[in-house]
Amino acid sequence: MFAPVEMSELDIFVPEGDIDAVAEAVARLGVVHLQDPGSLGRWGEGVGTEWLGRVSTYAAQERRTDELLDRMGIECVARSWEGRLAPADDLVAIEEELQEIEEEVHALIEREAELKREIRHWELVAKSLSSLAPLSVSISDLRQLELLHLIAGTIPTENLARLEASLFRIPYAIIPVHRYDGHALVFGFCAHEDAPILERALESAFLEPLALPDELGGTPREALAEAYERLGGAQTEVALLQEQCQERFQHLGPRLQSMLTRVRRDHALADARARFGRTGEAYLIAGWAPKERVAELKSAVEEASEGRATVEERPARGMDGRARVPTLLKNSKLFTPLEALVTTYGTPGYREIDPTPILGITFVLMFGSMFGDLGHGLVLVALGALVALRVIPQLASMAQMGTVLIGCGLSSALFGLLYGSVFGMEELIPHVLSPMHDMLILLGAAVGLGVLVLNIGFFCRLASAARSRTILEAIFDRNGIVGLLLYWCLLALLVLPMVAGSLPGWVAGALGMLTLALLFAEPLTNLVTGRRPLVHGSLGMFLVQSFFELFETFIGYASNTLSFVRLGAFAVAHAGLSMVVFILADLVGSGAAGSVLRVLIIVGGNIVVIGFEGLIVAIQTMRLEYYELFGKFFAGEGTPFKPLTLYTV
Amino acid sequence: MVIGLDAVRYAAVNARVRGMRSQLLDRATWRALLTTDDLDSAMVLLRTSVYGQAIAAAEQRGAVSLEQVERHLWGIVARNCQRVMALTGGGNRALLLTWWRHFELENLKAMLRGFDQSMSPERIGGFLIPLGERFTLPWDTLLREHSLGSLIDRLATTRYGSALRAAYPLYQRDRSLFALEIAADIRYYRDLAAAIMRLRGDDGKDARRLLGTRLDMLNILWAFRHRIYYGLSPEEIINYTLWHTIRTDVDLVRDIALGDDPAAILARVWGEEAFDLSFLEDAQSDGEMMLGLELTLHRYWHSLATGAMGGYPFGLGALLGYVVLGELEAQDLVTVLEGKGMGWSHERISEHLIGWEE
Repeated sequence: MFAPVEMSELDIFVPEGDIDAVAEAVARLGVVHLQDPGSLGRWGEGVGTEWLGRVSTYAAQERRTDELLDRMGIECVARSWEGRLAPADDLVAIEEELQEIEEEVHALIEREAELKREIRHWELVAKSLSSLAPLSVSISDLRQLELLHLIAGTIPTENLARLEASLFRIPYAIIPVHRYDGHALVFGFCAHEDAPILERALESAFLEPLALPDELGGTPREALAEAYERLGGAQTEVALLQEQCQERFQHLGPRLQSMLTRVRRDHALADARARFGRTGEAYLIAGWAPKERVAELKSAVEEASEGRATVEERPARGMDGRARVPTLLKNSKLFTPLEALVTTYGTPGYREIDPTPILGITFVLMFGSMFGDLGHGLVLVALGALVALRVIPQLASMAQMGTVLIGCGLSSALFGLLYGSVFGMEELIPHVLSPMHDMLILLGAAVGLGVLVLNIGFFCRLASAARSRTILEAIFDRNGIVGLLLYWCLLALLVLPMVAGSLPGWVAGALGMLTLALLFAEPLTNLVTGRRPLVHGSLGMFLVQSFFELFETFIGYASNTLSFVRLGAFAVAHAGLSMVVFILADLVGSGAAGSVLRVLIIVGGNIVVIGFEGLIVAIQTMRLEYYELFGKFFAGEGTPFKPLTLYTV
Repeated sequence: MVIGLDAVRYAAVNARVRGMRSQLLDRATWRALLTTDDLDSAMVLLRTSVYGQAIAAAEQRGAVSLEQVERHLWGIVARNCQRVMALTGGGNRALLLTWWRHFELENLKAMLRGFDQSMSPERIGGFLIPLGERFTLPWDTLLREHSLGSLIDRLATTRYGSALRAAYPLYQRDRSLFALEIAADIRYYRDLAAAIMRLRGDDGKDARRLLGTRLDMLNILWAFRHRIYYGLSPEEIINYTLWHTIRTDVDLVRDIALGDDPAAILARVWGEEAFDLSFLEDAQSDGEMMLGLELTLHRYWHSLATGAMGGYPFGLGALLGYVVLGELEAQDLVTVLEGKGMGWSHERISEHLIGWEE
C-alpha cells in the first residue's frame, strides 16, 4: 500500500544454445520487463537488428491470418497451440502453411466469384432478351442488322452522362434497359459507318460488351428460355461450391486459429529478441522483475537452460540506474479499480507514493458529500452491482468501474442519511444537516474537508521525497516542509482571531520567517544540497521572479482551499435540483392523468438528476483529486510495468 | 466575430503548421544541394536535413538506391500530411484524409504494375510508399494475391473495386495498364472533388483554390497527354478525363481533344495574364511543350500555396499551403536526385524545378 511493488534489477546471461528455451521460459512466466537496448552498454552493440525484420514478418503474417479468417467468414479468435517455439525459424514454416491455405482458400473463393459472374452474365442475357422478347425476328437476324450497328453491354452508371457528352460527332442512341449495383445494361445504336467511333467511346466509358452466346438461336423468347436454363445450372453449381467451401473452411478455420496463437507468440519472442544484448556467443536479458517473483524466475531459467544460464539480481535503483525502473502497482482488491483513475493522470514513479488508496478514500468521500441522497445512492449501488457482476454484456469491460460506482453509491447513501434526503424528498427521514437550511455550516465543513485533503497532499509530498531520497529538496518547497508550516500559519491567522479572539505574536513571527524562507527557497535549497551557484542569473531578476512566485503561492493556497467549497455548493445544488423536480410535479393538474404525469415527472426528474448531475459531480471530484491533491505531490512520470509475455488464449 | 472564431479555431493549428513549414529546406540548402558535384554528395547533404531519415530508412533495406530514397521521401511527405490532418476536424479532416489517399492511389498503381510484370510480393513491396500504421488497404494481403485478376477481385469492396473491375476487360484485351490506372485515377479524383465541394465558407474557398486547382491542372494535362502522347479520339479523351472540376468541364476537354492549343486553354481557364507562355514558342516538339506546360502549371500551383501560407492565417488555406509546398518540395528533391544521378549540370536541373528561382 502507498508504494509500488519492490523490483529487482536482473541480468540473465544465457549461452547462445539456450537462448530460445530461456526466452520462452521467461516469456511464459511473464514477470520480466525488458530494458531498452540503448541502456545495455557494450552488450547493446550486439543487439540483433536482424530480429526487427522477423518482427515485421510476424506482424504481416498475423495480419494475413486475420484477413484470411475474415474472408472465410470465420471469427478471428485464436485457438490453443502447444509446441516448441523457434522464432528464428518458425516464420518459414508458418509462411509455407499460410501460403498453402491461402492458395486453397483463394482458389475456392475465385471459383465462387467466377460462377457468380457467370450467373450475373446469364441474368443480364435474360434481361436483354426480355427486352427483345416482343420481337418476332430471330436472334441471327438481330446479329446482322443491315443499316444499324448494335452493341449491348453493361456500363458503370456514373459514366453514362459523360459517355453521352463524348458522342458529339455522330448520331447515336444509348438505351439503358436495366440498372443494378451502380451499373446499367444498355443497347447502343448508330449507323454502320460510325461504328468505330461508338465502339471506342463505349470502350473508354468502360462498357463491358454483352454478347449473346452463339449457341442461343431461334426467337428472343426461345433464347430467353435457354438463358434461364443456363442460369439455373450456374446457380446449382454455385450452391454446391458454397457447400464445399463451408466444409473446407470448417476444417481450415481451426488450423488458422491455432496458427494465430503461434504467430502471436513468435511475434512477442522476436520482439523481445530484438532487445536482448549480445557479445560473442553469450546473450544478456536485462530487465526488472518483482522481487518476490525472482526466485521463481531463477528456477525457470535454470530448468530451461539446464543450469547453464545465470541470473544476477540487484536491488532496483530507481532513476539512478541504467534506465527508469518500471512501476507495478499493488493495491488491495478494494482499491484496484481506482488504479485506472490514477494512471489516467500518470503512472507513479518507482520511488513515488502510489496515491491510489488516498484517491480511493477521498474520491468516494467527496463524491458522496456532493451527491448525498439515500435513494440516489442506492440506485448507484444497484447499477454498480450490475456492472461489476457483468450482468450487462455491453459494459462487461467496465466491470472494475462497477466497484467504484458501488463505493460512490454507498457514500452518497450515507450522506443522504445525514442530509435526510430520499430521492429528493426531505421529509421522509430526519436530517442531521440540511443542505438547503444549513448552507453556511455545509460550506464551512466543505472547506474544512478541503484543508484536511490539502494537508494529506503536503504529507504525501514529504513521504514521496523521503522515498526518493530528495528530502533536502523538499525542505523549502512550496509543497514541502516550509510550505506546510506556512499553510498552517495562514490557517492560524484566519482561525485563531475567530476562536481565541486574538492572534499570538509567535504566529506573525513564524509567518514572516516562513515567507522569507519561501522567497529565498532556491538559494536555500542549493545551499543545503550543496549545489552551486546559489542563484542562477542576476540577483535582481531572481528577486522579481521569487516575489511573483511567492505571490502565486499565497494565491494558490487560498484558491486550493476555497476550491473545496464546491463540495458544499454541489450538495446544495443537488438538493435544489431535486426540489425543482417536485415543484414541476406539483404544477401538473389533479385527476388520474395528472397523477400519472406527476409520477412520470418525479421518476424522469430523478433519472436526469442521477445521470446528469452524477456525471457532473464525478467530473468535479476528479478535478479536485487531480488539481488540488495530485498537484501537491504526484509527478506521474513513471513507466508502467509491461512484462514480456506469451500470448494466451 | 467570424474572424474571432476563426482565430480561436486556427491559432494553435496555424502556429504548429508554421513550425512545420520552417522544416522545409531553406534557400541556402537548396543552393548547396544544386551545386553538389554528384548524386553521392547530394545524398550526404540530404542526410543532414530533415529528409535524412529517408536515406536512413532506405539503408535498412541494404544498399541505398535512388528508388528507395524517393519512396521514403514520399513517405515523409505522407506522414507530414497526416500530422496536419491530426490538427483538424470535421470536413477539413475529411478533405485532408481524401487528399492523403493519393499516396494510397500511388501504391495501388505500383501494385498493379508489379502484378502486371509478375513480380514477387517482396519486390512489389519495395516499390510501395511506406504509409505507416494508417493504411486503409490491406497491403500485406493484397501482395499475396497471385494474379492481377484476383487482386482486382480482392479490391472489390474498396472504393476502387468497381472502377477497376469495369476497366479489367480492357486490360485483358490489350494487356495495357492504361485503362486500369486511369480508372483508378478517375475514381480517386472524383472523391477528392466531392470532398472539396462539401466544404463551405472560407475553408471551401481555400480548398477550391489550392486542391481544386490541382484537379483543374490534372484534367488539362490528362487531356493534352491523351491527345499528344496516346493519340486518343475525342470521345476517348472525354471519357478518360474528369467530367468537371472547379474550372474545367467537358466543353473545355472537348476543345483540347479537337486540337486547341495550350495558350488558348490556359487563357480560358485562368485569364490572359496568368502565365508566362514563352515556353510554347521555345518548344521544339510536342514533348517539350508538354514538359513546359506541366512545369508552368506546377509553378502556378506553388505560387498559390506560397500565397496561402502568407495570406490570412486563420483558415484552412495555410494548412493546405503547407501540404502542397511539402509535396512540391519532395517532387523537386526527386528531380535533383535524378538529375544528379544522370550527371546533369545544376543549371539544367534548375530549369526543371518547381519551387526554385535563381
